[in-house]
Amino acid sequence: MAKWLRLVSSYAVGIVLGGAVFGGLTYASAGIRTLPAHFANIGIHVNNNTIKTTAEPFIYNSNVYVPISTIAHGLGASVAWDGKTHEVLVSDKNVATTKLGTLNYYSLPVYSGTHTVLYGGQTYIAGFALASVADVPYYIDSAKNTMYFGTVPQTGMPLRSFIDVRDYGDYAKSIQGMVGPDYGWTDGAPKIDGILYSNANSIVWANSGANSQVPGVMYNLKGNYSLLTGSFGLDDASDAKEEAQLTILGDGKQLYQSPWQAQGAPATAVSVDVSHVKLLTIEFSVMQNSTKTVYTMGQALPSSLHVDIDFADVRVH
Amino acid sequence: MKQKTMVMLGVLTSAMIFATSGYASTGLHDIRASFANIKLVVNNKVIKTSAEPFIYNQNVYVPISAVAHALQASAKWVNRPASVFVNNTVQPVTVYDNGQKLPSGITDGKTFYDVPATDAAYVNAFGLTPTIDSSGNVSYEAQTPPSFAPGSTALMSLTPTKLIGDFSNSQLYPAGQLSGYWPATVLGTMYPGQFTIEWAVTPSQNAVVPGVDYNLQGKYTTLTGSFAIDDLSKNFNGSVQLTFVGDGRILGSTGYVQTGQQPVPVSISVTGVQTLEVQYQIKSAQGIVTNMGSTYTAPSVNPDGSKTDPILVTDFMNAALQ
Repeated sequence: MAKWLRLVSSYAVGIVLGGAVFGGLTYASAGIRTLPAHFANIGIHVNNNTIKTTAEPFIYNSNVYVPISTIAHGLGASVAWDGKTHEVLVSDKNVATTKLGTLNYYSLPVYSGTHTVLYGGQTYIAGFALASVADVPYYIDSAKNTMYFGTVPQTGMPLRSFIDVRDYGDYAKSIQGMVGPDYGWTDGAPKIDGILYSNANSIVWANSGANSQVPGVMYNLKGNYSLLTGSFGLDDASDAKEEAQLTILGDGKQLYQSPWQAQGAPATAVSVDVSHVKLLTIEFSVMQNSTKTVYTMGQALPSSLHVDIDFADVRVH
Repeated sequence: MKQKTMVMLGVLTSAMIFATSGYASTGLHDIRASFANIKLVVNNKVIKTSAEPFIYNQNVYVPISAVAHALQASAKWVNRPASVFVNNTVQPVTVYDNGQKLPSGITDGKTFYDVPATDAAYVNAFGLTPTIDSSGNVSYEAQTPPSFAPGSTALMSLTPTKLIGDFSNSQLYPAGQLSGYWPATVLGTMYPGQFTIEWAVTPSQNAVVPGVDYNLQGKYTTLTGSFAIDDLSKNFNGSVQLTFVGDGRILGSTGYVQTGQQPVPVSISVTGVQTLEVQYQIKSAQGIVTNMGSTYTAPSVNPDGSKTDPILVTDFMNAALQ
């Protein structure tokens, strides 16, 4: 049977291994030399503490030289000097050792390229890997330096944290080798009636060319949420030749349908009860103003239209 | 580590003891630096530095970039007032699971956001126990794995008496083994693969729709399990069904199952059945049915654009006899 690999998240790849980045230069011979050093009352700050020391940094040969012991201590390491071998021996438990490996479930490979980090005597596993195996959505708020599994208290879990289980129309087509909904524009945030919305947490769609099909996407909420919120409208970048509509289904039943939204109209605030809903489907529709023809999810849109749809800041609570 | 004579560096803690006023006057000064092929060793590993360390005024000096690199810290130079800022790059991260605070994770701000998943608080919160081997491979198991009713016989524990179609292709299924190639994943939920019969179709390749026979010897009453299209074939637009035949008589079927559908439960009476045959049928998006033993030609490219990843993966999960 084929040994295919699942898609690997960006968190699972791109590990920079701290290794031999610096090249080995041949050192000068031993002995005392006189060097021109530039002093400038250079202050030392380690982990936001100001270090007061008589061992002053200076600049020599375009490098800032610092006393290693001062810096290492400030970082929580212990330092010793071996006078026989002329080695500065640093013991630093705050150095992270990263390993790449395969993520398995019951000994069967899920994907390769997961990583573990040994740090401070504890082994850490990628949050993404845990979320994948546990099948829970996962969200990082880097500004708050916080990781959330399952839900984000108060603000709700961005829908983008869920793995799409079925895609429709353009979302089911390969775009750069990947399928699935588009979250965020590459050239700016969603803008509806002059108001800007969070780019990262918005489902967006623009048609392109003759083969564009109106998209949709399905997520598995597993009955764990009660409310879905967001703001729906046509982006100001649309060409005003059409209107757009949002339909939301829960386990195949229609839960919500927005009014037809014109370009330049304010966004419609969406707030839908999704209690007990397992499979949530988000469908878009487009109506051409000149002909009143409606194009529903999966149908091809005329290339004469330019539609930019924003379902902005979509979250479940 | 070998025993070595270690002399603490003179200025280590004097930093805190001496007042700050001792700085030299600013400007260019000639300093006497002692070179001695000094090596920097961090956690028993020799760190190569671009510029050689030397001793000045009883302290070992190294370029700030080398220290930062060796100790995984960030180093920043500020001109006014002249200062160096050094910070640990690995920082603790607050972690919440459904609003419940768990022991902190760690991040270096870019390449990893990791959690101590082996901690009891995590094991309890997620019901998953990870084991990590020395090579860095991670294996998860659930605390209560999906299983059959007590006293069941796993269908996978029986040896097939006949393999049909792709199942008889020893390149696809070495030694006639139909299970345990991959954990089944349906609508995001993972199932152990040991008790799952997997059938996959690759783009552009001719697949022969499979089937498998088992000799039940009339010993069982019920066949249970569930059937689904795996998430690997997320946007496959056709459908697949299993038909169960006992001694030539149709016992039941799963009906055609599509992607994005919850697993269809199977509960088939097999009382008195000697030979059980599990037959596959595939229906294309256009409604064309291909039966067991016939050739199905898959679309040339699957929805994610790949020509090598499977276009369809089916999972007959937790198949067991009672």
